[in-house]
Parts: sequence; C-alpha cells; structure tokens
Amino acid sequence: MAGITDLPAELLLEIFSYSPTIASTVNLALTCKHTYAVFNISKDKIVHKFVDRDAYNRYELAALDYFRPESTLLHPKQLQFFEENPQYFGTNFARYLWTGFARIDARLDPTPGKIGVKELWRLQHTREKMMAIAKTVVNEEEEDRNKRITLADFQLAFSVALYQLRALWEYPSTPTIKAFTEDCRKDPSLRIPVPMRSFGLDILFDHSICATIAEKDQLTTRTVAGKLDELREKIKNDNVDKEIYDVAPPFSFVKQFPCGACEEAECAEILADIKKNGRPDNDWGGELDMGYARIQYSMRYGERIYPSYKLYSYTVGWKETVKKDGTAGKKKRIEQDLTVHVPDFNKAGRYRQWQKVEIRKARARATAAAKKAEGKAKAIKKKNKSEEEEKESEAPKEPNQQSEKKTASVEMEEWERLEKEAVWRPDWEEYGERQYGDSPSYSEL
Amino acid sequence: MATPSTQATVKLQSNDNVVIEVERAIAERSVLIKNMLEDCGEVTDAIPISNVNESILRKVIEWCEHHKNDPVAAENENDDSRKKTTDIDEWDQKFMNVDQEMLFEIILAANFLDIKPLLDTGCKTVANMIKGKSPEEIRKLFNIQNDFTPEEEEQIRRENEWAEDR
Repeated sequence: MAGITDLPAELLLEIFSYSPTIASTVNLALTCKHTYAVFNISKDKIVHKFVDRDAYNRYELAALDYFRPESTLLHPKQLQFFEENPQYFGTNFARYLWTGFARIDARLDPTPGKIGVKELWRLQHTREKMMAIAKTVVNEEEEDRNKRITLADFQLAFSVALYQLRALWEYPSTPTIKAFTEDCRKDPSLRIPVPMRSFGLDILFDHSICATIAEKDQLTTRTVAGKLDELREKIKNDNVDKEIYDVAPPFSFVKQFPCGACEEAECAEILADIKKNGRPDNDWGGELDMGYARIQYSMRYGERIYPSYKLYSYTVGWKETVKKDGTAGKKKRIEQDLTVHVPDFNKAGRYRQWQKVEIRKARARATAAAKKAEGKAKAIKKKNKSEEEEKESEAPKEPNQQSEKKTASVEMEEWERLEKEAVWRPDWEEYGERQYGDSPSYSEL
Repeated sequence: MATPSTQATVKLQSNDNVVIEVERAIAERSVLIKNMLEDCGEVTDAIPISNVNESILRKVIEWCEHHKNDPVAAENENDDSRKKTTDIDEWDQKFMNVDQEMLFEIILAANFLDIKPLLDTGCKTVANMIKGKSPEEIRKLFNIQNDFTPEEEEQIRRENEWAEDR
C-alpha cells in the first residue's frame, strides 16, 4: 500500500514545492524523520520558490540566527595568541574573526530573540580587548599600516558583529533589518546567494555592514551597498590587504550539502543514503585551507545550518626555499599547531571531556598548593620549634599558614563540586566568568 | 532510426498482466510511451507497464483520454510559474477524489510514465490536503508514524519556528 512516506524523495520534494504556504510545507516536513530529511535536502530551494514573501523574509531573518553571539567571539586562546603575537593581528584578523563566527554550537538555544545581556557584554568586552591590541599595533608600526587592516576597518568589523547581535536580540522588530529586507524585496540583486550565506562572511561584510552603516547614517542599505563597493575599490587601489575583503575564494572550496554547489555524484550518494537508511550519513565534512588558517569543518544530519569548524593550524610565517639549481623555490608554510588548544566543542561529550581534563589539572594544582602549604608550614614549625614551644600556650597558629591551607582546601572543594556538576555548559560561560569578571548591567551596554 | 508509424492503437500491459488497448494519441500523453513508440516504430506486442497495476493504469488512461487535446507543455516551461498556483480544474478535482492509496499510486504511475500534468495534479491535490494542517493533523491524515523523540521534535519545531503562520 502506497502512503506519502513511500514516495521517493524526488516526489516528496515535488509535493513540498507545490505546497501553497511555507507553514504547510514545514508542517509536512515535521511529521517524521523521513520527510524532514527530504525537506532538508532542498530547504533553500523550496523556500525560495515561495510566493509567500512574508514567510520568505522571516526565513531570511532566521538565517541570521546562524550567527549567534558566542560565534562572534574569539576563543580566549586566539585572543591570547594575538596578545602574544600582535604582529599577526592585522592581516589575519578577518580570518580569525571568521573562525570565531564559524564556531557555532548546535546545542545552544537557536531561538531568535533569546540573546541575553551576558552575550552582548562578552562581545563588547572582546571588542575592547581587541581594540587595545589593534591600537598598539597601529601605533607601534605606523609605517606598516598600509599592509594591515586599518583600525577603522577593524572597528567597523566589530560594530558589525555587535550590530548583528543586537539585531538578533531585537528580532524580529529590528528596523534596519526590516529596511534591508524591504530593499531586498525591491532589488533581488541585494540578496546574498544561499550557498554563501551559510558561511557568515558574506553577511558580515555585506549584509550587516550595509545595515549597520545604514542605521548609523540614516541611509538606505542600497546607498550603503554602493558606498561599500567604493570602499572596496579604494582598498584595492590603495593596495591594502585586499584579501580580507575578497571573501569568495576560500569558500568556493567548500562543498556544502545540500546547497546545490556540491558535486552531483555526492548528492546522489546522499540521496541513496536517505533511501536506504531514511537519513543521510552523519559525517559530512572536510578541510578548508584558507591560506592562513586551516579549518576542519563538518555538518551533521539535519543540521545544515549548524556547520561546525575547528581551527587546527595557523600559519605564523613563510619560509623561503631554494631549489637545487639555486633559484628561489616555493614558499613553505610555517605552521603553529593549534589543535590541542581549540577543543571541538561541537562534538557531543568532547566539551565535558575537555572540562574534566581541565578540572583534573586544576585539582592537581590545588593538591600541589595544599602540599606546598603543608610543607611550608612544617618547615616553619620545625625552624621555630623552640619559639613555638614558648609561645604555644599564649599565641594562636600562624595566620598565613591557616589562610593558605584554607584557600587550598576551598579550591579543592570548589573543583570537587564542579566535577560532580560536570554537566555541559557553553565554553564562553566559563571563560567569561573566569576571565572577564562579572557581567555589566543592561544600562552599561 | 525507426520510421514514423501510422498505428492507430497501442496495447498496454499492466503489471498484473491485463492488456488494455488505447488510442496511440492517448497513450502518447505519456512521454515514456511516446519516446518508446518513436524509437521502435510499429509495435504489435503489448507494452509492459511494469510498475502499474490494472486499476491504476485504467485510471491514468481515463485522465489521458480527457486531456488528449490539451496542448503539450514545452519541455523548458518554467517550473516555478507552474508551481505558483495550486488551482485544480473541476474535472481533475473529481478525478482525484479517490482514496489515499490510489492517489499516491496515481502519482507514482504519473512519475513512472512521465506524464507531467498528471503528476502536477496529484502533487497539487496532496499539497491542498495538507494546507492549514498542523504536523499532528497531517500525521493523522496520512497515517504517518511520528518517529521523533519529544526532544527532537521540540528542537526541530524551534528551528523551524520562522515558518509558522503569523
């Protein structure tokens, strides 16, 4: 007996595409895993066919949710790297920012409008910290400034990130986004191609820059788009690191399923998987060489909007090589391996595993501190034995020893408690609390 | 290449071995049969339609008979424009007023025989059936088993919140 779920994927897609509203299409998709998997294959294509403009625009806005606050932050290790190696800050900043953007944790609540004060503050804080580094670089190496991204560009990039966050926060009533959407409606050329949209930079450097400036300068995004083009042209002419703005090449390497950009054979392979198992294979990923940063990426079934990335090596310089005949050979990359430093939080259990290691290390530190304090106390005790004997009856124990012991034991207790409660928490939560102090009030933002 | 045939009728054999004789013009509403006849020229034997049983084949032929004078859609006709409407003409509505099993069999047969307008009608019928219904109502309608866990369901519902009617 034939039922709707017995239809092959291509026929289900036909039905999806005939559905009169996005709501009914999605409702059909949500009925079971099979229909949902098929819907996900061509989600963008299906949605783009709709005449229901309002829903289409909502879909566009929902796409902004790819770039949630934690993804706009740099990993503390990256931040540290820049602090220690400011010379690499300028030219590679955009790429780092991108990797920050790309680190999206699928487990966080993706519902728009649920971005909190903490996240805003964290972004703001990171911005300030990065700005401080940027200022140092620019002041110290004024002559080399042309080779680097300018402070203004940097400020703009972060403003964009901040804007992005605010836009999400206020979703769906952000006037600028609405204005932009309105402009998109009038001029489809302003829209960002779907395969590109998933990778962030297009929105970072186009959509949001336009929208940010538009909001600031009370202009239409169309005008701003024109201005941005002028800026790019200027950058190109001024020979400033144009690569930063040239976002297309790295992404063209990516074969993202199911955007339509992948090889036909791969699509067929996935379809075969869906037919056979009712879902595509879980593992879908590869490596992306961005020139400076090498990234591993993967996408999980049903979660194409949550690609996960891991920065695993960073190019710290280039080594000249010489061929046998004495002529200059290819430049060889000098890499710094960052694999260990950037745990893949996106994989289930990895964070906990990493956290446990951290806890173990901290516990070892605490134990060592406790032993040291104890040793110190014994030594002091031995040295001052005679004096102590005299004063024993009248004087209390050495206050420093007491407090040192107490601190160590409190630290131990704290880590034991943490270990017991080793449930998953967003990494920024922890770093934010440890490194940046308390969250500011809403008004401070 | 085979010479064009003047054959007036063709025989179609369903997968339950029933042979049905139909006018060639009617049978040629199916692109699959049309191409086959063009390639083979005169065909005296019954053409096996392996994926379709007698009752569905008769139903498809009935549709083809009714639409035999319809203009054939150009191959490169814009898919999007075709799909922007879910209007179905009255005769087709009555024709598609069958039980679900037959409806999906007709869709499968139309797909196999490559009869685009019939496939369109079938898909539009299903699309109209789901219009305005919640996932639960659609499950009930099509007897779909919900194989999501409550957590999964909640997650995908949230992910697709943007699509809800407002």
